[in-house]
Amino acid sequence: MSTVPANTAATEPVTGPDAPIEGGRRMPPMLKRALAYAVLVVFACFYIFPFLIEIGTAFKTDPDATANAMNPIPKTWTTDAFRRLADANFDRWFANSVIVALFVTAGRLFFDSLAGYALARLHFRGRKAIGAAVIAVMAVPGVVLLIPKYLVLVQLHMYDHYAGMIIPLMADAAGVFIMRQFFISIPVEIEEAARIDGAGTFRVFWSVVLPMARPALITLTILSFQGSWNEYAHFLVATQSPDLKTLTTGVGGLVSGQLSAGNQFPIKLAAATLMTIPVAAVFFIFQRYFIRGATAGAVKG
Amino acid sequence: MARITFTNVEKIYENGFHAVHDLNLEIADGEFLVLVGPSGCGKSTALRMIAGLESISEGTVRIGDRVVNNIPAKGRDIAMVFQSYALYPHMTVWENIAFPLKLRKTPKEEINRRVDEAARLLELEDFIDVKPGQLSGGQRQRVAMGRSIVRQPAAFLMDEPLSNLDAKLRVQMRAEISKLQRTLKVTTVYVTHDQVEAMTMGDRVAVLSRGSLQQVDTPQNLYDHPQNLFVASFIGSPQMNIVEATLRIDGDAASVDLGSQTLAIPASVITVLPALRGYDGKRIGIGVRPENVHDAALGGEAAAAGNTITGTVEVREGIGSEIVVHVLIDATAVRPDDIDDPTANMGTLFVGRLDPSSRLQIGDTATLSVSTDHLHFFDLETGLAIRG
Repeated sequence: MSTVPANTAATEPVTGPDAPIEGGRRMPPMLKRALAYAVLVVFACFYIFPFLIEIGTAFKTDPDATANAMNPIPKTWTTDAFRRLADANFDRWFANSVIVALFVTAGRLFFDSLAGYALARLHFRGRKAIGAAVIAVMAVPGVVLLIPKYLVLVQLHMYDHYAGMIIPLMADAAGVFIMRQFFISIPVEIEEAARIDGAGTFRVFWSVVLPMARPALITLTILSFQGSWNEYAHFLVATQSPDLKTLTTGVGGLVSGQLSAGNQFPIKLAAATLMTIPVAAVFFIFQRYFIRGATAGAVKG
Repeated sequence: MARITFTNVEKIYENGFHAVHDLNLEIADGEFLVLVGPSGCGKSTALRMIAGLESISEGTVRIGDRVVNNIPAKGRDIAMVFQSYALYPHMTVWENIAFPLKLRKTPKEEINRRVDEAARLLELEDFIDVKPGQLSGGQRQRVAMGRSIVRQPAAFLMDEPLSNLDAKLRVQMRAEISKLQRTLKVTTVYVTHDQVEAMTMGDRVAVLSRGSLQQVDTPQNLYDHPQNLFVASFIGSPQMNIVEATLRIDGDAASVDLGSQTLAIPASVITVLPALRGYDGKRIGIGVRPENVHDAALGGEAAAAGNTITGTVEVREGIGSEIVVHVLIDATAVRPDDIDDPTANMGTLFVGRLDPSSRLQIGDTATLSVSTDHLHFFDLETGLAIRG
């Protein structure tokens, strides 16, 4: 057996994150990690703090909210702001927002997926032009279309009606684009196999392709729900009746109308808190699908 | 079951690309026909025209007695297995196999019976409730086969179904597909670029190149009697050695000059191919399969007859049962344009499959004997084999 010579020094240089810096000392890994977390915590606090103020202020009295605006913890806890919201027809606004958001979301899922599939897979004259038009529409600022929208709604007798609030929002260019890009990424052989198996065009779409588009559909659900829940300008031009106010137009009226005198922070932020809850819930429930859906088309498309 | 007939079929794409030229081919009822050729030769296009996935520019395709040009895919009573399997990822194995039957509103009991039978035949019972994502390549291939079998179609179409499998599994699945086809006796059209698959699986093999049918025949006939340079070069691995030579006929004696070397041609060859006399003094193509090239040092009939050529060993591949040598000789190779030749930049390399006892090494001057009664002769102007 050969003997290992004593005092064998390592001749290979040490490389990597633990390699010594020439002429200096390297920060221990634990300290580096602690520092990184500290920075992340600080940024997290910056982002979360406004929400804490929002929730805390909703439970404050008006003087407390004015005097200690930046303190998220109320001196005296009160639900007075929520009671005043209830008196201001908040429940009606909430119901209208739910109705509109549900119908718009369902409509967008149905129409955007159909339109996206047609643009991705069907061959018809004008397909390229329509596809370009869909993308071009996304470049138009929404505010430019407000007055034309109002005029069309009046002509079609949909002004100041649920139909006028819902129907114009039931399909959107971005949703069509998302679905089109996802359908393009699905291997065409799967649809060919379905056609050979005996499926017609709609059956291929409904039974084969649409179930595969679950991540994209969930992304569309989140975006549609959020978009229609937070919609303000369209409801402003589409309605005037107090019974058709949604949370956005209702709270907007509160802020500019009867409560324009004084800060009225608690009631405003109580409204904002209640409005955020459904959207946050939808997002948290579906967020893993959202992230997957956002990248699903990109990987293959 | 039905026969499939192509009559003067052409396929021209919108951009002007002519994928299939004047295809005339009849596939008999119950036959296993393989379409083989290099990439872009039109074999998949021809298959897809049968399936109804590509339109037919000219000519007719018949399945049985029906002209199917304008019949959509679902109405043609064919089933197809794709290279990528094309399974429905959101359905279980059972649902994948049952799907075509559900589309046809088959009664539930009948669906259960047929799916169970297919699962048993393809040994899928253990995976029947699993989704395709959890299966191996071979298992997915069997599910794709199962989805075709349950339909009891007039014909199976298979588009390179084994290309995505590893070599060992490919050999196993080849045998399984052949066995299945013999059991079910369904007309099958099988597309592959792998000539080993073509030769081992098909009752007949149709060789295509650049959209044109080169030859359709049994595998052995294709191998023994290629009709032109392309088929001669494409079928057989290693590729047939084809070199330019000048034919000299003097009475009953004949010889060919390959560069500075001469090979004698037996009189019997001239007797069998009297058309060769018309090429006396002309340059023709001479084809020799590597297995008909031997190490002269080991003796043998050809060596004794003095039918030898000499060159330098450039490549030596010992694979146990034989030694494959590439010998550089001073003759001009003949290569059909659409055959990829990895030795193109290496000069004229004559390939031989030698007995494993050969002692030849790289750099040696090799004397190779050639079995001249297995020579192939080609007209260099037309590319056709010299016959008759």
